[in-house]
Amino acid sequence: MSQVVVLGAGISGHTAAAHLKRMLGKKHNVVVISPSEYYQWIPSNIWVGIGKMKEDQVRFKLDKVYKKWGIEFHQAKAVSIHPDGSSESEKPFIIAEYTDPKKRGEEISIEYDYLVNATGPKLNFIGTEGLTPGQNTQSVCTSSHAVEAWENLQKVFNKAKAGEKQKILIGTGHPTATCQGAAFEYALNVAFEARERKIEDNIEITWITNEYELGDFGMNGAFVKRNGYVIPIKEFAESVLFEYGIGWIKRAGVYKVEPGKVYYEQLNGSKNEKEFDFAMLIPSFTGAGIKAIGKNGEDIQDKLFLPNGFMRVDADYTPKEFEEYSVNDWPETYQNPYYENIFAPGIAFAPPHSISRPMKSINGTFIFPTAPRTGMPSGVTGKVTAQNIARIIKKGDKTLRHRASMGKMGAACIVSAGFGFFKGSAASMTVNPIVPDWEKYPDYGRNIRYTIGEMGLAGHWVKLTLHYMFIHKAKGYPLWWLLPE
Amino acid sequence: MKKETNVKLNSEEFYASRPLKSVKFMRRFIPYQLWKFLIINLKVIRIVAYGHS
Repeated sequence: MSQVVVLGAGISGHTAAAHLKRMLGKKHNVVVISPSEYYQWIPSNIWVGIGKMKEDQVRFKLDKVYKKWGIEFHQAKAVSIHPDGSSESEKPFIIAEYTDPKKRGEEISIEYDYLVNATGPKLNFIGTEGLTPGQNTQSVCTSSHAVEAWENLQKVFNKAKAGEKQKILIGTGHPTATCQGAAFEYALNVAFEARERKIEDNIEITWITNEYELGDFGMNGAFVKRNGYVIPIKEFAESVLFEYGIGWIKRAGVYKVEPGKVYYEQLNGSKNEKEFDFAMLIPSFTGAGIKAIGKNGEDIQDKLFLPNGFMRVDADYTPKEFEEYSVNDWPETYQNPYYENIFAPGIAFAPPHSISRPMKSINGTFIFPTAPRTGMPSGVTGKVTAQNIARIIKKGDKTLRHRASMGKMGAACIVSAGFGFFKGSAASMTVNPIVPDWEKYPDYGRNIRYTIGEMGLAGHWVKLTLHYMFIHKAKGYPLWWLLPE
Repeated sequence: MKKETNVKLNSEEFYASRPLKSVKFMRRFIPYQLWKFLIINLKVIRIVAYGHS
């Protein structure tokens, strides 16, 4: 009997655990360790942040689902990985600390045959001075943050209703933050909601971003076919913001936040300030901060992790210039090169480099989006990891047949821009592949045939469908495994 | 375009593309949006299906 331990129960970890148990059955153990008792469908946090969904509509308790599936669940936070075992035992193991209120602070040691590190990122709020969710700024990165954001946004709306001018700032809260799509979505929804309440004349919304051009989204932008032209998605993003009455500040790295004020540096080296009454700023991401410890207690961090805390996998980490970036640098199996029984799908893996061109201000500050791995890539990489591990365990063949490179995989990003079955709207964007492949697609880096940028009601329906479909899937309702990632 | 309260003439925002009334109409025109719903879903399914092996 083999034991597979999955760290994290987000999109990637939950997907991996679900498929592992389905494929391995009762003969093998699947153990999930996650600091939260809930699964969250993070893309719908945007709707919690504007009061259109309740927190419990985007999350559910994991223990019931795992009990039904026969997965062992520990509400705990992984502290260290011991891939060589210890001086007493050869068997690799992890140490976790319980966050479950009944056992809070207690440590548990769990042995594994295969380890899936799917912790996702650590939301690195401390990476920007004063970027404190719920105090100086708000966040929609978790459902509880989104609830808090909505409470504070209502106060701003009420003041605007009373005739007071209000300034709202939404965007990236660090010079190298990623996940622009979520913040962009939130900005559009806040603007939509202000318009619905007829208070838009008293609300000034500004989009602040570290992107060189709008619509970069950490993917170096994209091109889409529209009305007989192939246009950069920058035009689409600018047009949407303009239409929603949102101004923008681009090429900006926020380095400090005070109550009601952000400080940012731009690529031209200028340092500026922007006042706000409400700000929702996305922090930078780092790895979860798990330690890697050798057999005799020595530090083996370099074997498992890069300095940013993300896990080393089958990527080409050789430093190179932007012009030399290749899709072949990107991992396909998410297997650690030193330990063949450790995998890191989802946001936990260390990307080989950014997708967008790294930009540096004249003061030497890097201001550009790092590579996104959220949503569809997280689910897909979680599934291929599960398929590979299940195959090794069941067939004994260590060849990793299942592969999913971001240089081959596409992604769909449905950016909600208003809520309501007949009033809602969304910008639907698809890119294929996520990482531009300039050898295969020399004109635009991507397959234009499968890259779209559409605005309209249909996008909102797609977003709603995805919400209910993925909640259905995550809860393990009938035929869940037929639904794609 | 009364809504663009913070968009000033000659600012960068001023040069953004703007949708015509016909485009705005089509975004809400149910039969067209049902067709778009189908197209978007088909493209997403195709992307997912070919994204991993």
